[in-house]
Amino acid sequence: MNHLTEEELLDYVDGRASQSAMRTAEEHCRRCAHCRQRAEFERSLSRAASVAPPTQLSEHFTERVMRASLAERRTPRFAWLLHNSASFIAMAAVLGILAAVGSLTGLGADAGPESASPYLRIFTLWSTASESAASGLSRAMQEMVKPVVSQTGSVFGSVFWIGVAALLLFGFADRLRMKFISTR
Amino acid sequence: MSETLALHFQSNRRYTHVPNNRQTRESMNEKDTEIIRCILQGDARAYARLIDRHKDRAMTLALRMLKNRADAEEAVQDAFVRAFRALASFENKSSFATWFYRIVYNVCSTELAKRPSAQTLSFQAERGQGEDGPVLAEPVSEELPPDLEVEEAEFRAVVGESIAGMAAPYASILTLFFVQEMGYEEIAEVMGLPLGTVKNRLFRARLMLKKDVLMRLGEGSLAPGAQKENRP
Repeated sequence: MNHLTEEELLDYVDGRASQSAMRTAEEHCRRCAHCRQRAEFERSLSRAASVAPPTQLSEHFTERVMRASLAERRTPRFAWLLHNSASFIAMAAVLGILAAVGSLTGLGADAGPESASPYLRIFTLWSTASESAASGLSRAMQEMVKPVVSQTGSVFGSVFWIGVAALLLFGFADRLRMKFISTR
Repeated sequence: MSETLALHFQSNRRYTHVPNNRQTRESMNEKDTEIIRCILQGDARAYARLIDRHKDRAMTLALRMLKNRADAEEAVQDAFVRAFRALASFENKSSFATWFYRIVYNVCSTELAKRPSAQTLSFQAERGQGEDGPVLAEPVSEELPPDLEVEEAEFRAVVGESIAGMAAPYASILTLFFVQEMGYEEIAEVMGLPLGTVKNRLFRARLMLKKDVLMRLGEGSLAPGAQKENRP
């Protein structure tokens, strides 16, 4: 009597064989004690192999994965701020310097020509030089800029420098937070 | 009370790989799809349910591949984070389990590739060398000792140890087939291998498992590391 081959046996045990092959194998096993025993052993082996061993994942595994996953998800939002921080800082620095210089030189505090700030002197020179050509326009600009700078110079300076510091701190804190999450 | 397993097995339970599990798996897939829908609609916290549903089996696969608990846990965590990041691109073409275990498998493969050559040698078979063709010789069937009796729990432990001691390509394919209850096509998708290679490797792995288990039981030794010459 020809015994079942290993392949036929496994297909029979797995229930993967065709209907006719299943019938043939079953019939054979009914008559052949050796193959019946092999089939039973394969079934037991399969049952035992199907049992997942205890994995003993560390406590709070799910929470840790959630934290890491959500942090990953937030990254683009924070990254947007971080990626643009150079532009913010440059813009804030230029405006802050302008405003600080304006406030330190007391632009507009005294309307007299002697105490006027460099801005005012430049504007005055420029307006004098171009008076013949566009005196009306330059005077209008001078009048428009002078009060704005004088009144808001110190406020702008403070606000922008505080903004720069806050942005830097924010970026640093976010990087620290990400590092902390990823290492836990 | 533990059940005694004799080689004339009197157990009433019948093992069939495919039909018994199909319904459970379909129901699992539906549940996974529902959770994924919730997540994509903005309920990111629902991902915790998905993690709880798959973490143990993912850990089993990672542990059997990496043979180290800490590395396996890190790999599973990495896989979950990657899966979350890519969840929007999950297209339901395959089940979430297949898609996710492919990530786990890839993370573990990458980790194995970083290891020194001694540990990765056995993993070279992963590239499919020599496994695409048909199985060349019909292996000789094992002679089962007639008087062997063993308790089921003990038998399970022997089988578990035997799989754990196998090289990663064989241990992983047995885990995907038996524990994750995947079919040939799904395994091929997870491992990124041709169907023929999967069938051949699984066949080899089952023969190796049987031989190793019989030797362990025959020698009466359950110590891990016994009969190493049978491993690739």
